[in-house]
Amino acid sequence: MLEMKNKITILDGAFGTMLQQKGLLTATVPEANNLTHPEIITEIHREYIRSGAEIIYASTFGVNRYKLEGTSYSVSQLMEAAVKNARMARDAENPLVKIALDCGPIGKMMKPNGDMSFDEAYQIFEEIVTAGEQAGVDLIVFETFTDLAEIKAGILAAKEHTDLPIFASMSFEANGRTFAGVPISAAALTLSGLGVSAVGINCSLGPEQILPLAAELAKWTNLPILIKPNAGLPDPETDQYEITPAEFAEITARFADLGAVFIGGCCGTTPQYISALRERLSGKHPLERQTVHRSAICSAEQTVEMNEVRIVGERINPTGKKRFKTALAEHDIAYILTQALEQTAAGAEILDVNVGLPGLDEAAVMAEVVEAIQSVSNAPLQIDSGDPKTIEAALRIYNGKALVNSVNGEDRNLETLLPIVRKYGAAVIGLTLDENGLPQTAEERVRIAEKIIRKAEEYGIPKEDVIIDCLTLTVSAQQEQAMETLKAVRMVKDRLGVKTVLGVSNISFGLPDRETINAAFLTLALGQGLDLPIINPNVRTMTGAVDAFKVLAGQDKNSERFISIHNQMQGEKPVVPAGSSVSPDSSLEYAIANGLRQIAAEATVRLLQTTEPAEIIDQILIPTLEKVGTRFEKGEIFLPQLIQSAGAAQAGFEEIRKMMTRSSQSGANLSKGKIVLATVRGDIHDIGKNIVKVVLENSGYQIIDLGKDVPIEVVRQAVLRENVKLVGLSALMTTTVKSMAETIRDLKSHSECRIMVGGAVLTKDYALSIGADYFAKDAKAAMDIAKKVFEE
Amino acid sequence: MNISVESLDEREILRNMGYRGSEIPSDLESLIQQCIRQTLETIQPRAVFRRFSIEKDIDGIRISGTDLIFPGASIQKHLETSGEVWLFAVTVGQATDKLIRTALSEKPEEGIILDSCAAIAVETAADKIQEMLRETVEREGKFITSRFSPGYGDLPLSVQRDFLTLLDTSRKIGLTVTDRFLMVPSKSVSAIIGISPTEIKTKQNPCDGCILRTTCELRKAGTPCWK
Repeated sequence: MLEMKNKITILDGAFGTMLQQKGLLTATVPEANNLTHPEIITEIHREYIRSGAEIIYASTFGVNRYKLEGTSYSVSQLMEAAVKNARMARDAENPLVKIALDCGPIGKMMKPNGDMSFDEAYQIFEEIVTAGEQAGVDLIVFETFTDLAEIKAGILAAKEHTDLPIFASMSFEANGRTFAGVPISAAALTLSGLGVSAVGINCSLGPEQILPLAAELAKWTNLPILIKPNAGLPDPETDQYEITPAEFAEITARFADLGAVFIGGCCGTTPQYISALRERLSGKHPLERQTVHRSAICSAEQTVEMNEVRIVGERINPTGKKRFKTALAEHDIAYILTQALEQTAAGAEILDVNVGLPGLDEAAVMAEVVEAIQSVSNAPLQIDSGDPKTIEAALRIYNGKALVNSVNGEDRNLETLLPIVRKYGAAVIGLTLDENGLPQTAEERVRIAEKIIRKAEEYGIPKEDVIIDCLTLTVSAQQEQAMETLKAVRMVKDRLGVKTVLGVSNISFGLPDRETINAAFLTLALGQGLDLPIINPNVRTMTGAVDAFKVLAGQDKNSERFISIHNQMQGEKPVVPAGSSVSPDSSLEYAIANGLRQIAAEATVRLLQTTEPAEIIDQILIPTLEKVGTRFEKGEIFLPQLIQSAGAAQAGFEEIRKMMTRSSQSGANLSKGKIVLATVRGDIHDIGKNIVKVVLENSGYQIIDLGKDVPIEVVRQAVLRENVKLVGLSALMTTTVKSMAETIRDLKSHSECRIMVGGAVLTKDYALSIGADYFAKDAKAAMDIAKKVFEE
Repeated sequence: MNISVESLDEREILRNMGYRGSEIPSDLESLIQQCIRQTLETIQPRAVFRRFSIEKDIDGIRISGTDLIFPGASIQKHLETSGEVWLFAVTVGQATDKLIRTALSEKPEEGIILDSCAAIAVETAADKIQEMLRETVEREGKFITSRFSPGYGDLPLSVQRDFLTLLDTSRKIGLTVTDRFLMVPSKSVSAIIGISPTEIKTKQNPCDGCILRTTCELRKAGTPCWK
C-alpha cells in the first residue's frame, strides 16, 4: 500500500537537527516539544512536506516508558500530541502524505549484555505501538536499531497489537556491522522473515559509506528497501555534519540504482537536503531488482548460507547420552554450553538443539538453553522438537533466523507447525514421512517432499527455506534402505531443487565400529548432494570426510581450507607439560598443580582402574587443589594459574563422573555439599562469581549457579528447594551492594543457611554489618569458608 | 569517533589480575600473548566527548545549558579551578563482552586474562582521548585536570544515566546503563575532565577519593592502579 510500482517515495529528513536549529534540543525529552511548541513542530513537518517528503515521521523517536521515567510525560500523551502535530501539517499541505510512528531503540541493552529481558522490551514496545495506532498513524517505522533481538521484540509487538504496515531499519558502522555485531545479511534475513513491509539502513554514516552496505542488503532480501543516510559524518568536536544538500542529493539519488524505493535523510539533513534530493530523483525510476533465492539461516552475528556443505552438530541432545540427561535433569546449563562450544570449535556451523526429556518442561528448558547458547556462541541454531509450544518458545526469543527440525508430511502436523515457522520467519526441515509411516521407496519420499514444499509455499514459506530430510534408517535392520535414502536425496535435489539434510549417525546403530560406517555413508550421501549432514563433529573422520568432499566437489577453492585445517592437525604435538618435555610427570598431582587438563584426565582414567572414585577425590583431587590455593594465597602463583589448576581438577572430576554415569551410579554422591552462587539483583558483573564457581566446583561441591542479576526470590527458592547450607553472593558496585543486603535479609528470615559474600567494594566489616556470615576476599577464601561450613 | 588502540601494556594486564611478581610459566606467557592479540582484534574503541561551561552551585557542579548537576564535595574539589569541562565516554564495544563470556565458559583462565586485557584496552583508549583533549586545551594556553568518573569519591554512580544521555552515547557509540547504573558494554569509561586556566599544581592522590582505599591490594603493594 505504501510503495508504488516503479516509483520512489521520498521520506523526510532529520528532526533533531531541525529542533537544534530552532534552539529546542536542550530539553531532556526532545519530544516534549510536541506539547510545549506544537506550532514549531508542525512547521518543521510542513517544511519537509513542501520539500517533497511523501511519508513524514512524527516526532516520537524516543517516546518510551524508559526514557520518560522521572518526567511528567506519558507515552500516550506525547504520542497523541506528536501525531496531531504531524496531521495538522499534512492537512495544511498535502492530504496524500502518510504519517509514520517513529520508534527508536529503548535506550537500554538487552540480556545477556544488559539487564532488559525480551518480555520487558516487548511490553515497552506494545505500549508505544498501541498508542501510535490509537493516535492515527499510517505505519510504524522502527529505526536506528543496533540490536536484532530488540527490533524483533518491537516488530512482534507491532504485529500482535496493530494492523499497521511496519518498516524496519537498522544502523550499521562502516565495517558492515551494527554496534551489537549484526551483519547486514543477518539483519536482512531476520527482518524479512518477520514479515515487515520494508527493510532498511539509516543513520550512523553518510550516503557514500552506506552505498556499499545497501548493495549488500539488496542481495539478501526481496522486500522494498528504505535508506536514510546522515548528512555525511559529523565532526567529533563540533558535531556538525560535513556535506552540503547538493552533495547529499547527488550521492543519495544513487540508491535508486540499487533498487531502494524509500529514500530520505537522517541526522544533519534538513528540508534543503530533501528538496535537493527530490530534484535529483525527479523522473528517476528505481532499479527493478532480481528476486533473491538464498537458503540461509543466521544468528545475530553470523549468517550460514547453504551454498556448500555445512556441518550440523548433533551433540546437544539427550537421546542415548546419559551424561547429557543428567546435566539436563540437574539443570547444568554450563555443561550444555561446553557441548556447544566444543562442537563449533570442531567445525560445526549449525547446532541442533534438542532438550526433550520426560518430566521436563520442554518449552521452558528449550527457551533457556537457546538463550544461554546464543549468549556464548555465534552459530545459528536448529530447534529440534516436535512440540509446537516448544518450537514457538524458542523461535520467539531466538536472535536471528533459526531452522526448525522438523515438520513431516502429515496434514495435521503441517497445519499446526507451518504457521509458527512462517510467523517467526524461520527455515524448516521436512521429514519425508506421513500418516502412513515411512515410505520404502525413494519415489514415495519425493512425493511427500513435494507436498511439504507445496504446503509451505501455501503458508508463505519460500522453497529455499524448506530443507528436506530423506531419513536415514539403520542399515543393520533394513539393509536395502541405505541406498534408497541416498537415491531419494539425489531425486529431491534434482527434481525439487531444494536443500537436503540427513541425520547420519543413525545408519550404524547396532553395529560395531560405528564411525567407519558413518563416515562411509556420509561420503556417499555428500556425493548425492547432501547439504546439511547432522553429525558428531568431534569425530575427526566425520569432519575429515566433509573437508575432503569440499575439496573434491570444488567447494573449497584451491583446497585452501583443507590445507589450513589439516596442516595444523598434522602439526599438533601431544600435550607435554612445560619444562619437562623429556619425561613428563604424568601423575594427577602434577597435572593439577601445573594446570594440565589433558594429563589430569588421562591420569584419572588410569587411577580409576585401581582406585575408588571417592578416594581419588578425597586423597588427590581436593588436597592438591587446596595446596594450589595456598600457593595462590602466598602470591607464589596468580589468578590464571589457580584457575588452570581448577580446570585440570575439573577434567579429573569429569572422567570420574563419566565412569559413574556408565556404571549407573548417581553422580550426586560425589558431592561434598550444595552451594548456591548468585550475582545479586541489578548486578551484571559476574566474573568474580564465576571464578569462585570454578574453584569450588572442583573442590568437590555441587554448585547451583543462579547466574547474574538474580532476583531475591529466586535465590530464596533455590536455597529452600535444594535445602542448601551455604550461599555465596557477589556484588561489584556500591549501588548493587544494597540488593546484596536485601537478599541476605530475605534469606535469613526464611532459612538457616550460611551466607558468604564477595565483591570489589566490600570489606569484612561491611560484609558482617549487612548480615553476611563470612566475607570471601577471593576464591581461596571461599574454599576455606566452604570447608569450614561443611565440616562442621 | 573511532579510537585506535594498537598495543596493550602486559604489566598493566598482569597487575590487574593481582600479579605479585612470581614466575610465569612459558605456556601461560604465550596464552597471555594470545589473549592480547585476540583482544586487539576484537575491540572497537569508540568515544564521544563534548565541551561545556560549568556553573558552581552549593550542591555541586552544574553543566551549563543542561539539567545535569554533579553533586558532592569531591567533584567540586576536583574542578576547583575549572570554568569548563570535557565530558567524555569511551567503550570497546559489545563484541568484547561476548568474547570474554564465551571464553569464561569454555576456558575460564582465558576468560580471566581476556577480561583483564579488555579492562586495560579501555583504559588505554581513555588515556588516548585524554591526551588528545589535553593537546587541544594546551593550544589555548589552558590545562586539564585528571579524569574523574561517576562513582569516585562522593559523586554518585546514579549520575551515570543523565551523563550518558547528555552525550547521546546509546546512539553514537552503543553505550547504555542498566537500572543500577552499570555501563553496558561493561568495558567502558565515562569521565569528567576539568579545563583550567591555571596549571593544576597540587596533584591530588586519586586514592584519597576512592572507596577501595582501605582494602585495595594494589595500593598496599605501593602500585596503585593510577600508577
